[in-house]
Amino acid sequence: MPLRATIKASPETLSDLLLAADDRYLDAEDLLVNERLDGAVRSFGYATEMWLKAVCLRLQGLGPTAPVKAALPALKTWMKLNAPGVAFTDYHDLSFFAHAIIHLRTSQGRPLPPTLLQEMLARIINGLHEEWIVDMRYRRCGLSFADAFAALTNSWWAKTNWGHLV
Amino acid sequence: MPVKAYHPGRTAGFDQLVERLAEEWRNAASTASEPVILEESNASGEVVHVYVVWSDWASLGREVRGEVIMDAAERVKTPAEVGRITIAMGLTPDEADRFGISWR
Repeated sequence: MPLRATIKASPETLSDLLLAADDRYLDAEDLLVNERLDGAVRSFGYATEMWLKAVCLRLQGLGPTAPVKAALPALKTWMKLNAPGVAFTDYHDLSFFAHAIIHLRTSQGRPLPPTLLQEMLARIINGLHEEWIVDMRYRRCGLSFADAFAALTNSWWAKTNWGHLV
Repeated sequence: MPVKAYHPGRTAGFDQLVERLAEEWRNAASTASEPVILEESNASGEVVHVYVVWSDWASLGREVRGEVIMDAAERVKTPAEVGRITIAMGLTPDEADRFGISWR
């Protein structure tokens, strides 16, 4: 079956999301090694976005077969009701999903440990959220090795810590 | 000069879909063939997943359909009830049949 039909035939699940996050991260490392720096940052951002979304969905009690695109609007509404001060730009907004993790954990009576919270503020909200935006896909950004290395270290933090955020 | 709410990114007719769905949701005795609203509860009897089968949103993406459902839910349920919903899945009749959802 052609890819378009295959993708349309079944909703993306939480399990799909986690597999794709690993794939995008590996893509990004290859692109970095081959000095395709814009592409590396783009893929590090996508991978991180997926890990943050996965954490949010797990914190909402959803399992591996949960349909991602049906869960995100419910999360958006939950945030509107429980954290109205958090801005929502779009479904690629790393800062929004990081804040959602903080508020979901707090609402469950188990706020993030201070160290993890500080790291997420530095790595995601004040880090990759500022260094990556999905709209970069339509531009030549001319990013430097320093930009790509910063994205690598911040995305690596998400890769190695997403399980601790749940 | 008239003042109207403007929601960038929302398709024309979004609010009409929300209102029509909310109206159907409020009207438990409705005999309309669509939209069909399926509420799935957890072990405590609280609605946590909502599936809506509707031909009229075939042209909309899945996330936008979910937003229509959640906006309609806010009009018919309490904030506590809305906050418990974790899945808001909008399907067309063909999609619902293909995914094996019993809705007819």
